[in-house]
Amino acid sequence: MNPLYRYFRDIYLGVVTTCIGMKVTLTHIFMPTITVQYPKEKLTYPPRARTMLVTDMETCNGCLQCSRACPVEIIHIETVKALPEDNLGNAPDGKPRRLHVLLFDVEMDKCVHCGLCTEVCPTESIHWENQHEEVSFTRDGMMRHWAEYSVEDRERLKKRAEEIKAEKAKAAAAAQAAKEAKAKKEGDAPPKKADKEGEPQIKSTPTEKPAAKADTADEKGFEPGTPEAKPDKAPPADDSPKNDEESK
Amino acid sequence: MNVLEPYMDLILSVVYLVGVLMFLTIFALLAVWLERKVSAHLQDRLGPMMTGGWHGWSQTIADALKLILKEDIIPAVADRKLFRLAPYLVFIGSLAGFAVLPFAHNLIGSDINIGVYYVIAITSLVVIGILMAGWASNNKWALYGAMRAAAQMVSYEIPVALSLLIPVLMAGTMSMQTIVQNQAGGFWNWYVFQSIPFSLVAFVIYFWASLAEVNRTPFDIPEAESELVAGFHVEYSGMRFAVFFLAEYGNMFVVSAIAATVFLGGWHAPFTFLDFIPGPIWFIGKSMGLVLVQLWLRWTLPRLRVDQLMHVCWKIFLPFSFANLLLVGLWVVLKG
Repeated sequence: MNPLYRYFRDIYLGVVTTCIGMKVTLTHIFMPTITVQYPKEKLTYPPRARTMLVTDMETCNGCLQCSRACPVEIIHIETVKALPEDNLGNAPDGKPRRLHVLLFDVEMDKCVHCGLCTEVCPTESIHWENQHEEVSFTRDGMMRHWAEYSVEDRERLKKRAEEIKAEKAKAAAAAQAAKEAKAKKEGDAPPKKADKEGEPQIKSTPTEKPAAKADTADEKGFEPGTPEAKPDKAPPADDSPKNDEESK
Repeated sequence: MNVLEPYMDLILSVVYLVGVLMFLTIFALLAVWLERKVSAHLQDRLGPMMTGGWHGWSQTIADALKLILKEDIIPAVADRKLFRLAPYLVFIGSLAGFAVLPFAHNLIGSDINIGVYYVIAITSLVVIGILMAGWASNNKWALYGAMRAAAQMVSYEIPVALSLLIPVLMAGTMSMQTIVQNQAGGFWNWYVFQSIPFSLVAFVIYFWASLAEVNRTPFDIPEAESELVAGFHVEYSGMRFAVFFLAEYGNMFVVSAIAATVFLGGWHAPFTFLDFIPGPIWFIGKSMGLVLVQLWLRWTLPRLRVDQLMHVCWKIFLPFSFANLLLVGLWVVLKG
């Protein structure tokens, strides 16, 4: 290419492209700005935005599914079984509530916003709400307490549950003793063999049983009546599918 | 009054100087705010909106107060004397330019008969100040910035001077006030529209080269934020940094005001029936318009590389300026 031609072409292109660029920027000065003045104006979030976990205690039935689904284990729930005279009202499915949800704490500072808890919640009690501004300077401040029980109530109800459990344990022990006495009276080994036969099918049951018994009344809440049924172990075939369902 | 009579000149000079300093400060505050707002709106942003209520108008005042209140830091290994002197030298270079700016037909610091020459000479002081700042900082980025600034400003002084010679040729004088008076009577008498296209080319060359003179984008390699942090003033903080800033914006106004004086009719109105509006408003308005174009260009164009910068200066501006000068000389001779 002719160097002289290139020289003038470069100058021409320089001038023209500068003019084009200036025209582009000039048009932008008359365009509406896209900045949102945050504290004064706020954007609306998409309906499925994952912002802050909120639990509606009106609908929570204390099933612990969210706590189990949580990959970072930040949902802490404590429940005790309610007595019929507590009058907790009805759950959203129409059945009477059977549990006091004494504690429903969520450590929002550790939350990874995966949304698994909201997906497993059967009553859509734990859900996302656009409350991203509720932040704090401390980790304690990021703890969300959703349970509506005061500390005194919680202690009282726990104590009561302990008492009931102790009573039941006592009763169970008595029943066991009575049963053993009865078995001794029969004076034979065959029933013990029957127990061993059923063991491979319901391998989980014997390990789970003492834990549930010793720990809380949580597990009992799902199948009231089983604790009473378990000690005597009359229908082992009935027991195993029930337990499988529960552990799911 | 008789006692004061011999000192009248001195008193008037001091009053004028104080007035210019106040004007310079207010202009710098306004220009920095404008720069932020213009850059923001060119990029579909809003810029400062909170300070002072209406569109953040007092943001730069707050910034200036902050700079004044900051601790005065001199690096341990810096050359203390030169480090302290440099910002004031830069500031003097830019302030001295105001001495020959004709704000109105009777408002000029000093209507010396070598006005244009004086401006070209005195604004070169800025180069020394910048080089001094970069050297005294004892910082490699500062030194790089200062070297680039020196190379660039010394190179671009040649096209600036050659372009300023064209109105001088047409007016036959270097006195700023006479040059302005020669452009009276409507915008078609302004030198930028005389002897088209030579003076128009001269005006464009002057404006572009003056961008390099004041280290503005696209010729801001001395301060290239992304490469040199802040260039020659990287070690400066607080009040001294504010002085650099003031000098930079003062320089912007000076080069724009010179362009307005020698090419755009100075304090004359574009139409004679608009003469009732006082001269300073026209003069400052024209200068501010050119400053706005500088801001506009800054937020449009990318920064040039050093070799591109030198290419533009030595291979394009310089030959065009020489050819321009010859042709205008011919034009003036033929016109008689």
